[in-house]
Amino acid sequence: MTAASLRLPLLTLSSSLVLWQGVVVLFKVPNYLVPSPLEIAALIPARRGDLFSALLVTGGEALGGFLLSAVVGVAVGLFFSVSARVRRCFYPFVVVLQTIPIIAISPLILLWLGNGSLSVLFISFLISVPAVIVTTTQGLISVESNLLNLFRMGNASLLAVLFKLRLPHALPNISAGLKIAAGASVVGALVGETFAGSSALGAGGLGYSSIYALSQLDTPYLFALILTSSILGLCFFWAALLFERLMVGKWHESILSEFMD
Amino acid sequence: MIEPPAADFISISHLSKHYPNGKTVVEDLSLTVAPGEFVSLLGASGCGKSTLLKMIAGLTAVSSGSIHIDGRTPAHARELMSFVFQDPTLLPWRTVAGNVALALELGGLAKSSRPARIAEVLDRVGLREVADYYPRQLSGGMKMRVSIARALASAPRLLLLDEPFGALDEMTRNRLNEDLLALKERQRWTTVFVTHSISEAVFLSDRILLMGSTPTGVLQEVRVRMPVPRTALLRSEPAFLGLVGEVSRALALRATDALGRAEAPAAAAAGAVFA
Repeated sequence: MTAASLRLPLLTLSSSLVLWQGVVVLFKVPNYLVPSPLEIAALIPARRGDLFSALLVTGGEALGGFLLSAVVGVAVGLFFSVSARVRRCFYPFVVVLQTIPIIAISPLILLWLGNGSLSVLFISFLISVPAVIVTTTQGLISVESNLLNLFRMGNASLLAVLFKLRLPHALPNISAGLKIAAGASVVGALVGETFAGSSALGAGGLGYSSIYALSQLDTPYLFALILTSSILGLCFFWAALLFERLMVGKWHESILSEFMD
Repeated sequence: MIEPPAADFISISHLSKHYPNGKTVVEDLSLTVAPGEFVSLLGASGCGKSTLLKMIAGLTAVSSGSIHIDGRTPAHARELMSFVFQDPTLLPWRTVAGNVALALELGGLAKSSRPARIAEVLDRVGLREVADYYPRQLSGGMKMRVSIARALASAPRLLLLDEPFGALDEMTRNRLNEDLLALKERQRWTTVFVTHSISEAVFLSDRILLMGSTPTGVLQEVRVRMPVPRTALLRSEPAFLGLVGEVSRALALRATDALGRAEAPAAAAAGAVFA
């Protein structure tokens, strides 16, 4: 991104912050309803220790959930690519996983895994894994039939077809799935913490701290937590984007077309 | 013109192909191809010529009858063959050299001898400069060249081509036809070439087999007795143009025959052999 392309978004961002500050000051909005940007900005360095430890807790849970969903999602996708019959048998489970409200099964997760980061990690995983399974399966099974014929003409083994053809072909799909999962895993960790988060000292993540800040009507800190959460989400998204660049950046249209603008 | 020796390289006898939906695309077809011969299967879309080629490659199962390549069944003769598909079918994540390397990897050539072999093949098809390019950076004609280079990398004795130049513009197609013949002059592999272009079939082939509407049984045969090596100038010679006309006429008569169930005039069967 160039300095010129940054100018317009920065301009709109700063003017909306000025507008926000002006409205809060002008109409004397109480800070437990809407704090001013300056108040939030002043609060962040003062409570950076709390914010940072909450960020680490949630970041760890989300990272665990994301990595687990990446490994399990790709593995299940590989299993699904074996045959259409396998997909008919097991695909409904993925659909159920995707459609069931996590809130509805949260009591079960609490019952089995107890309060704390492990439950949160598992919820983060449950929310982010379907995207990886669906995209990986789609990528693995959508290989053009003549490419498969080419490998058949070479008497290729099943493993050769998998590693030289199906997996590389599925990489753009897998990357797309991981991008969705990266965002979802952070959301999953935040949501998970609101009902399974630990209240132990220093073990409360961003989601748990938000609930706590709300109960104290500490709205400025709540805003600081929201800001920290979105930074965490952005970091995850960028990491997934970086992975995509590394994997398919040289050859896939989805990336190449960006350079043509 | 060298007359083909007696021993057949490909021998097909009483071959039939029925699809599960009851459609018959090939019916009681017998055919032989001599070693080193260039045979074209010429016909309109849907006449079963691609299906026949895929059966020779062992990619499509036969319903009845038999196919033998150098005395072996297609499934056991794969290491003798290379298949060039209608589309370039390149792996977009591999460079030109990487795509050619695939054939060697699958063929089990030792890793140490691959680079020399890749360089040699790319040289032969004039792709050495673009060895490190990705397929998306190449034109349609160049991609097809890579596909041919990959097919030649495993030093096949039988080259099967399924309308490989059908999607290219005429000038690129002519150029690739000339290059294909030049390559073949150096290594006399046997070729079965599927096409719907009459002039392409005449230019390339030793023998053209006309396929009509399905199911195709007995094929009509046209021998092309033209000098080798053939050059681009051949296309403007009266003998060449005359033969293209003959083949068009034979194809048209076959189509009329199939539509009207009328007896084809005797001239169509006899007159197609050009001397």
